[in-house]
Amino acid sequence: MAIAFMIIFTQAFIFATLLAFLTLGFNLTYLTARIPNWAHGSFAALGVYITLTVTRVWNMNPYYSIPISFFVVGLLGISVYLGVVYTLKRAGAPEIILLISTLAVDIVMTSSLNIIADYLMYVHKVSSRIFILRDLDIEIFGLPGILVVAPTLLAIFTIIFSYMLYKTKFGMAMRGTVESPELASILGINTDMVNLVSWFITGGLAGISGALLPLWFLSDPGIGTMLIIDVFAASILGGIRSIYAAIIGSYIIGFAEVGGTSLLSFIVPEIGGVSVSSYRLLVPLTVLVITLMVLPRGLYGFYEEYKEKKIKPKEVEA
Amino acid sequence: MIEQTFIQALIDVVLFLSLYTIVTTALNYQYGYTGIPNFGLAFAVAGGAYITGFLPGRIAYLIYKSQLPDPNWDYVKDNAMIFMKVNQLLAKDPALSITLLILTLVAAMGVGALLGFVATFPAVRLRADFLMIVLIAFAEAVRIIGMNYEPLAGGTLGIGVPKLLKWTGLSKNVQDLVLVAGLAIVVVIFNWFMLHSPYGRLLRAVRESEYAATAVGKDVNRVKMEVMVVGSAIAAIAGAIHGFYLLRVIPPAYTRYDWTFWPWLMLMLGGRGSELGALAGTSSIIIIRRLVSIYKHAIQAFIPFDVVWLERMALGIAFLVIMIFKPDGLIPEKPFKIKGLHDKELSEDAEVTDT
Repeated sequence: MAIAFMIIFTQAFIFATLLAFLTLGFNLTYLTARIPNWAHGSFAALGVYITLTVTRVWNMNPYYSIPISFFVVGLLGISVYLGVVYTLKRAGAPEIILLISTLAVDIVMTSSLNIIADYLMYVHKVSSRIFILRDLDIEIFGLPGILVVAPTLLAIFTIIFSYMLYKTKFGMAMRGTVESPELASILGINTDMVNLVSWFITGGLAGISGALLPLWFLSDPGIGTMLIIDVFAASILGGIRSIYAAIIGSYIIGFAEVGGTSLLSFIVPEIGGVSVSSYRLLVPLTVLVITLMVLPRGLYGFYEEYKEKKIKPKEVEA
Repeated sequence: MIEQTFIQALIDVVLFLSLYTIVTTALNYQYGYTGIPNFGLAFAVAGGAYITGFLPGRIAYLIYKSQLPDPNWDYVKDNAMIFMKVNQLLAKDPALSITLLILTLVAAMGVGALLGFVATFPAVRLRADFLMIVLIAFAEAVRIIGMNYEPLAGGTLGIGVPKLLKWTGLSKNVQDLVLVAGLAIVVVIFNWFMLHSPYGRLLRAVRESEYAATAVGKDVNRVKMEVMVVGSAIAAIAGAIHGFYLLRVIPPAYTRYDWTFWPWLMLMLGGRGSELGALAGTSSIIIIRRLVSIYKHAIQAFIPFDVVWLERMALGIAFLVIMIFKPDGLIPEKPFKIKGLHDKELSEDAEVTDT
């Protein structure tokens, strides 16, 4: 029982950490470009196939795929921004059209990934659908490698990113763009450049997340759609207006989803003749709906309100 | 022989055109006129289809239970054998067949309306971008429940649908044409009358400015709720008759690609908010897809992947191309002309230029 619990905990922890990479990027593009990027899950799915190629076709260690994924998916982020979002914005498209355009990008990407998967299967004889690469993971200090690498990378990245955001001039420009793109561009900030960089970082983070995903979880070309619903739930729960809240939201969703469904399938193994885990997607969806009804601005909004309430009386006194 | 294939292909085109006309009409009603970006269209279609799989067959089974060779047959597991007998019995019983058909259509509309009502809660509270994502996820949830909860519509394998028009003695094609095309015409006429009434103008007012509509005393949230409920009920009809056409309901088939994105592409190609545009978009895409499906297997031999993905990729690219180069669609929406009001406006303009 204790071992089973440990396995579930590890699984949930890894999933939540990988989700945090994705949600961080999702919030970043939402804050700078003002659109929820539906194709974000497919960005990660591309990372998944880069890892598959690195390990099964080139026979290299899976961890080599992290930098490759970071750059490839980062460049993909830039090209999606320039080719689609920027073009449509310049044509004066409303917000909703921008969102539909990311959906269209997602459709194109999912079909491309399916083509890549078919190609790997037919030409390189690699099993490329519903695969897992857990046997390729290395051991670090007696622990599965991913359990060490993923949280370390997340911590390093968060520290570097915070430093960049609060201590450098570019970070200041970025925060300015987040607050008000119009005002920032009046003050001479190149908001297009800020957007480009944020889409690169977003893509890169999604690439890292995707590169590590197949080491521990079943992967498939359609995995992006499953992920984006988790990402969206985590982002709304944490608060879409804060980058750090994304990490908290991701951990809650990750544990609720993986931990919750695994524990539930211990208690009630079957509902209507099918295992509980088939209904896994319903967990983030339920969290999403409840959050939107009760706390539409997420935990971060709750925190902000709390802070305002605390400060206001003092200001009145002064 | 070739002639027969051609006629069969033509009938298929007409049937799918009618089915998708119903769906795009529902979408045009929700997004084109009222501005609710319903990206969960598939949930209503799936809801209607599940009812076709759940209700008529089960009622017929319960009524004819004593006449079955083995009364212990399980409805889901021994479905195929049950239907062989039930279809024979239904062919001799027009009264029950008609009752079941009407009951199913009404129940499907009811379920569609109910799902639409559930979707209203986010629809009136959320901004368009969040709403879209919630509705996509909602449709996915409906599909997952259908795929995994077998008593509803047979799970991933699907479940049979009784032949409710067999008593007419007509061929299956004629039955389908009458049912599907007939309902599509009814829906289009209903839609036309609704939009050329004061209510149609109210919908456009809500789309253009919710604040302005509220300022003249209209309850915007109520309008949105009505539109979600009625639109979803219409889309559910399409789901129900899709089941009758295939004689089977297969829950995994109600994907967001087939029943949300393709209808959206049809509407965006035709022009949102324009009745003719919706029809033009639907027919051009149905015909293109049908032509592609005839020739796509010829390409298969030359490429190292499944040709299905090329079609899906074309769907995504078509979206992008339309949005970038033709955002108003083939037949853009025309501004409403109201008798009396617009004549007056014109004369006022004339006066201004005179002075």
